[in-house]
Order: sequence, then structure tokens, then C-alpha cells
Amino acid sequence: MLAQFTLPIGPFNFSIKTDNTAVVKNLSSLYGDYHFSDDSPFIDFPITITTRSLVRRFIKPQVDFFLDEFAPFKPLPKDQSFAMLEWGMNWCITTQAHQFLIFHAGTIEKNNKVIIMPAEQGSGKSTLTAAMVYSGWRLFSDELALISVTDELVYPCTRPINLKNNSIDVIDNFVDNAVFSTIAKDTHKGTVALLKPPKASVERMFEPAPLHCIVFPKYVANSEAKLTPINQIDTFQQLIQHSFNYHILGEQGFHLIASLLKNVACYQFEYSDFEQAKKLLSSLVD
Amino acid sequence: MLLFLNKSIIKNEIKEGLALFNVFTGNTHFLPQPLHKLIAFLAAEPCSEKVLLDVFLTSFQKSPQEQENATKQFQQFITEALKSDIIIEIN
Repeated sequence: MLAQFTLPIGPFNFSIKTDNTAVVKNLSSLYGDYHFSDDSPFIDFPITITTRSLVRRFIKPQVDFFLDEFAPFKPLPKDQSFAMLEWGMNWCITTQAHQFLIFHAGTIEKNNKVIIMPAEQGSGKSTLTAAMVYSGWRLFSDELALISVTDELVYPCTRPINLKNNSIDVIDNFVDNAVFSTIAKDTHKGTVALLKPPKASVERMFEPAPLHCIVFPKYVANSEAKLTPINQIDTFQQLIQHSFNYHILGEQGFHLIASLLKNVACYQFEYSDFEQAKKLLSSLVD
Repeated sequence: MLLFLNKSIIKNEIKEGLALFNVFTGNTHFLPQPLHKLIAFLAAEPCSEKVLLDVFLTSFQKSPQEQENATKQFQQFITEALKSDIIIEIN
């Protein structure tokens, strides 16, 4: 029996069909503050998470991700089904939403000023994003910065925050009453759990805001929090490396980055302590 | 021999220099100051390497050491700009 949900997230409408009870349970728990609808006239991404073959329902059960009729990934073990849905949703956006220049970046907002934090996997970007959004910042995304090529505003894509390995315990200790998905072990990223986004961020997920700062974060154990200004040539180069679709947008992406850099400050950011990080990042927008 | 700015190159000034984008190849390049003024000069009109070098050297003091270093920097720029198709050389 397939359950079906229509889920508006920021500028996108997802339709999710699944026969997987873990997906239904995690959707209900982590997307509890979202407005599911049954009558959306337009769906951007029709997704199905299902068990493909009868045999695989019983022997080492696996699930498949489909966008429409297309399966872009190999099947994954059933206990990774919800993580697969979230990764698949990222894939849908990054491969198709070219009305935005998209960066691999944590994205947060305060006082109508957006900070994007582009970084490699393992730099602590999602952990820092989680700590900030449970300290009064608005969550746009822990993975994707969506910058419109038409109005140059940053658009929220407010979804659960993807935490890995030690970060799960770190945030569990930092956030009171944190709600996590079921934990997926032995994924290609290690142990993974998703953190429910703050309700206040979900309620404002249709409100874009202007970019104010670009911060390249890096967790360095036992370091004092430190912001170091960086020049625009280095920033431009790093932004290209962290972009999913600069090569697709071409000239449009080039002009957009150049235009954004005229009005924003750019920093390298080292941190180890959330309280120091909060204070320093707040000093950029207060 | 004259040097031209490749017509596929579009440019954008940023704080510390110039960002260049080749719309044909999709490659992005960056030129720090004062090299960026060579592109502005070539965009206005094609010119010889000698004229371009003279333009570049006006940004530097007249000491022989500084002029020598600037000439080396210029030669490196010409080599790399030709290799990456930012500028084109025509007989």
C-alpha cells in the first residue's frame, strides 16, 4: 500500500509516495510542522521510495529511489530509506533547479541578513548550522544555498539537518529536546541522523532574504573562534568549487557571483566552541 | 604581431583585480592588479607586445630592479594568457 504526501518546501513542491513505514514515520516526525497538501496543482519533483522486487522485501531488504520513472541511484539497505529520501531530494534540486545558482553551503539568516557557509564534507558545516538555528538564527538549509538568478535573493530550502557520526551526540547535548530521525548506520557517510528543523524557520520557509556575508567555516579542535577576511579573487574561486551548477549557468553564473561580491564581506572562519561561534557570527549581522 | 583580446572573453571588475569568463570554453580566470589594466587596454584596441609592455611598466617605479621584475611578470602573463586563450596573437 503506497502512502502519498505533497510537501511544499520553499520554492519547490515535492510529491512523495512510499510503501516504507520508516519513511512515513520519519516524515511525520521531522516534517510535523510543514503543511502537507493533497491538492497542489503543480509538482516539481514526483518521488517514490519503494522496494523494487518481492525477493528484496524479505532477504536483505533494499529500497529504491525514483524520480518519476527514473532511478538515479543504486538501491540502499532498507534502514537507510529516510536518509536516501533526503539525499535524493538534494539530488533533485541540484540537478534541476537552475533558476538558482546553488552552492554546497550551510545557510542561515538573522535580522534579514543571510550568511552562507560553503564548505567541504566533514568541515562541521551542518553541525555549526544546527547549533546556530537552535540559537535564534533562521534555517535556510544545512546543505544548499539557493541564490536566484533573477532577483539575487537567497531562497530558503528549510529541511531536516543532516548530521553524521559524532555530530549527532554533540547536537543532542546542545539542543534541548532535539528530535532526530531513526539513525542509519553504515551508510557511505558513516552513521547518519536527521534533526528536525526549528518550527520558527519552517513557518518562514517562503521568505527569501538578501545575502550579507560569505563565511568559509572550519572546525579546528580547541581553537579560539576567529574570522579572517579573505579577498574577492579567493572567494570567487572557492565559490566556483562549491557550486553545483556554475558550469551549467555559465555566463549568468559568472555575472551573478561578481555582482554578489560587490556587496558582501567574505571570511574564513575557524571555530571549536558554539558559544564563541554564536557571538562572532552575530557580530556580522547585529 | 598584434595581440587581441579574445572576443569570447567577458570581464567583471572585482575588488582586487579582474574576473574573466570564456563563454566558449566555460573557463574562469582571475587577474590581480596591476595586470588587469592590460585587459582593459587590449579591450580598447589590439596592440603589439612592445606597446603593451610599455603600458604595464608605467605602473612601476623606474628602478632597474623593479622594471626587470615587472617585465618578467609581464612575460609570464603573456605566456599564460595566450595558452588559456584570453588573448590571441595574429601576424
